[in-house]
Amino acid sequence: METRKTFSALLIILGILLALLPLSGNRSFNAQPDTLLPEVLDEETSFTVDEIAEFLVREDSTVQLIDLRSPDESKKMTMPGAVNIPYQDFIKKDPEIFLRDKTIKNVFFSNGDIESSYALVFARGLGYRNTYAIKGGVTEWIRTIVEARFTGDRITARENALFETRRRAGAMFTELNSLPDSLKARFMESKRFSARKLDGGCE
Amino acid sequence: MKFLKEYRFVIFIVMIVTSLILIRTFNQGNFRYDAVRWAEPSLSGSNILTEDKVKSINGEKLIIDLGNNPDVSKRFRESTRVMDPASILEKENIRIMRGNKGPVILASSDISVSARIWMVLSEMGLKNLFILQPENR
Repeated sequence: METRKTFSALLIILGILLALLPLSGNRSFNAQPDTLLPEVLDEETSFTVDEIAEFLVREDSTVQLIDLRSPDESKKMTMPGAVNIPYQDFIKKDPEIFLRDKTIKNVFFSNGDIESSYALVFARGLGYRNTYAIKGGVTEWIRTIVEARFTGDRITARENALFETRRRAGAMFTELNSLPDSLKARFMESKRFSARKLDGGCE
Repeated sequence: MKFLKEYRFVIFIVMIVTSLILIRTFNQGNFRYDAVRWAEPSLSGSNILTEDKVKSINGEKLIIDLGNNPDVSKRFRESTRVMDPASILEKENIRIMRGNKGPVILASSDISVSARIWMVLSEMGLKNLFILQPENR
């Protein structure tokens, strides 16, 4: 009888331990550390601001920019087409809400590289392989794209194409951010609408 | 003895489940449960230290020079170790970091490298882990 009591007590303790363990699978990294680390250190997981400028100019609908800054910072100035998901919300909420669509590239950016790097590892650790980060963030975007100036005497065809892409992306950025907040969403919606029409979709 | 015989099947299952839980919880080579909890210092930015703050820390601090910041080893000569980012998860490196009694500070001229490594190591359960803020920020 005594042994049965001890055994029951052990089972109850084990049950309590199990109940206290946070066993929610989708909130724990499911990758192995030694496969995740080389993956997130790979250059392939980062886009340069020039690559992003090209996506914007081409109106590439397979790329979704995610602004991890605060709503205030994002309202003041953001990249065309970006959705604002503050870093804190991204970490605390279920990432499935934001990263559900596996057919698009989700590209994180912040002011610099810190939050976007954290978010990249966090998302990839949870199994969202379609996530990337913009190298240098908004700071690098402004320095390279918005403030792009050609200062040389001669320009090669390649440099000219790069400069033209930067100029057009910079113009989109300035156009969007000079609008009042109330019109920004409508501006982006109209851009999406024209892109869909060009793709041959019906509205 | 009779009891053990009677319940041997239940005891066997309980032992397996318990061992699996213990392995998963205490295995230092794996990620820990509850990703949000381990990422928490990154939400407040409390995991980022300035150089002055690092200098003011007394005690056993360990600065990990991630290889592309030649000045770090010079500035913090006595407490720096160079580790290649790609091999930071080698057993010996993990043992050194876990064995250090004070803060472990990741330093790189490219903060995206230290931030990515910070998140990986934190999710593996390394505590007292920080990032050295580069000077130009």
